[in-house]
Amino acid sequence: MAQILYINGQSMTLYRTDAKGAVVQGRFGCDDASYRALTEHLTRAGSPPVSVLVDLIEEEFREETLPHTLGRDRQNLLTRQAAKLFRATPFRYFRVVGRQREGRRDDRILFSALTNRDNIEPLLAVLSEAAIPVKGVYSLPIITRRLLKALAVKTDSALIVTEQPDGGLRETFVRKGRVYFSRLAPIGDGSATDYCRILAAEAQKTRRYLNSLRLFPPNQPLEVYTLCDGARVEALQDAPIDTDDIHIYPITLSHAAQLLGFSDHADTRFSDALFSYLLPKRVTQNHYAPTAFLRHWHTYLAKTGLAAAAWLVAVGAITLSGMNMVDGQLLERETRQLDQLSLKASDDYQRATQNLPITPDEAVAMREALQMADKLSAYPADIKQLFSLLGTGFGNQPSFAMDKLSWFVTPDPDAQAAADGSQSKGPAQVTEAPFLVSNIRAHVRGFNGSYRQAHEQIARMVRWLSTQPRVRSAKVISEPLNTRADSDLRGGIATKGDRETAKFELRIVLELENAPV
Amino acid sequence: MRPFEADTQALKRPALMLMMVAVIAAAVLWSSQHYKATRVAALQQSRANLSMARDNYRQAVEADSILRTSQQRYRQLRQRGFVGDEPRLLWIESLRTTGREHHLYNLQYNLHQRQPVQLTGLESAEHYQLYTSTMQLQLDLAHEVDLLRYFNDLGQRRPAVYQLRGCTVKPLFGNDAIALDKANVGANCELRWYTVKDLASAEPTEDSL
Repeated sequence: MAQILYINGQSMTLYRTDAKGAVVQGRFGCDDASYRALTEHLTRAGSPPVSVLVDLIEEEFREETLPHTLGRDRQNLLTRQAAKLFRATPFRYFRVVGRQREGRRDDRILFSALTNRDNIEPLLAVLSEAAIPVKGVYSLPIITRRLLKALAVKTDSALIVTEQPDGGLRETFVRKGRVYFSRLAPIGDGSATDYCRILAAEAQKTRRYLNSLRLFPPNQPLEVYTLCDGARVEALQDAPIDTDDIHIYPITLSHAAQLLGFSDHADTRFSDALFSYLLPKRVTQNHYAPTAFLRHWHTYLAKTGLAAAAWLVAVGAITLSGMNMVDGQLLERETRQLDQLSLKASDDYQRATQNLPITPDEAVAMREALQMADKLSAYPADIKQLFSLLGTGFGNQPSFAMDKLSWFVTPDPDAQAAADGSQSKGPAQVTEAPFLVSNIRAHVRGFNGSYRQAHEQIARMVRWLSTQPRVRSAKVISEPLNTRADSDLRGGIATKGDRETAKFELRIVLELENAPV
Repeated sequence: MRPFEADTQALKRPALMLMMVAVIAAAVLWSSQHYKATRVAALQQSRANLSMARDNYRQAVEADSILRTSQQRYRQLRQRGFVGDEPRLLWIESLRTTGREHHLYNLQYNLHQRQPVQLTGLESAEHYQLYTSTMQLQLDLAHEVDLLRYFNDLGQRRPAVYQLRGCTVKPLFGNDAIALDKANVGANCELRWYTVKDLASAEPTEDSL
């Protein structure tokens, strides 16, 4: 929804537009009393923002070439140039329309201005005084290019002709989708036939002018698209006024409006409603209004922004707070359920402990002491088995006599001596010792000098030992005669009276039974 | 000319309104966050309480089970002097009594001072510190079978928790014949006596110093 104030120098029409069309809200003259009436009307409506669409004779277009610049430099240069071109008015506008293809490749700039400031300035002053936000002052010729979509123009250049209220024929020259020139010719309120005649004359006049400005080549026919009512379209079709230089394409205004989305446009020859409809269809930057006249619009924007921000903050805070509250409620419910479970677990604990003579911690300590005792008592040194084994073994070989028996328990079956655990740093480690390692030193009683026989007897005994239950290993550490190739061997025949000895050493490893005492 | 001019007076009220809304929104948001944080903390506390209550109950059930299965053995261990201070007197008496019963020709002992030890597999014991005292034992016997009988009887007497770590047995008769009225075998043995002490009253170990 937008408020568009159309001004043509003789009257003003206030339109309210929406997505489907434009509706007249009021028509006003162009004097102080009318300005006040308009202001009162707008104030009553709540001072909505107004866009001013100007369609004035005193609007001048000039194309200039300037050195190519960019950014702020370009802005400053073009502003200065516009002020230089149109010294008498602050209602100036410029737009870069292209660059030259040769030489310095200067920028081509289209400058335009409302050369008679009295047409618009008093109105803006009154609106400003009434604090009515003016979004901008927009040029009707510049937005004429928005009609091109409905006209289906096939050539690069075209002259678009529309008729405005209070006797004005607007001719706008468009090339490659851009407006280069526009003029408003006054015409009387004549018949359709008169319209045809005036159109032909004005088109010829404009063509010559375009030729003189070198905006349009003289040897090329000018395509003229004229938007008017059904009667004038019929008149133009019945009495063609085409020449070699001018080709006229009449189009019903209501049909073009329908193509552009204005569904219920009346069959009228005046196109101000259609232009008012087209203006807010796209975001359009202000053309002519100096910043001072936009002050209330800027204030309106800032107010709206602040209000929107306040709403956003409020809605965001309410939403987040609501989520927090809902989360909190859910958490509270879960907490209550957990508390009930805790209460039940505490009751169970009370019942379980009321007959206990000790605390649970003391019970755990008790178990720990028992575990230690069990571990320490595991694998007791079974010397009964060792003695039984040796007694039987030596009983089977009565010529063997034991000189020394030493044994120790160990966690390592290959250990050579009992580990005392004192090498480790800190408290010594006590490890379960499931092996009993024994060393037996013995000799052959009444040795007759037959080492072979002695070795065979020892080997027989070791073989027997190896087959006994829980004997992990049994082996000879040293034999009466060391016949190994990697050691020296020394000896001789004993003289009469001397006795040769046959000493040997055995190692037996027993696996202890895990049977706590 | 400024590109954006606005009536600052006219903007004061909406700006003030925005600030008020922002302040109120912040307060509401903070309150709701605080409320939620309180509820989260309460929930965590409840979870911790429940976990603790369930642990307590589980421990109580476990304690009941431990009592039923282990109380008798624990009492016996206490009586044998495994828990608490070292019953050295009891140990020596047991050794001597058993020695006298077996008519040992000689019994010499050397008991070293107590040392803290760790039991492999139970390093993380929470209630008790294990101690060991090593004893060197020298025995003169008529026959090596007497050694077997001596330790067998000592074990039957169950004076404490101990380990027989090893022995060296030698004949004492040399080239002479075995005599029935004197010691024929000498044995040097190593025993380890074990005790545990409540960690709260245990002496600090070298590690903890």
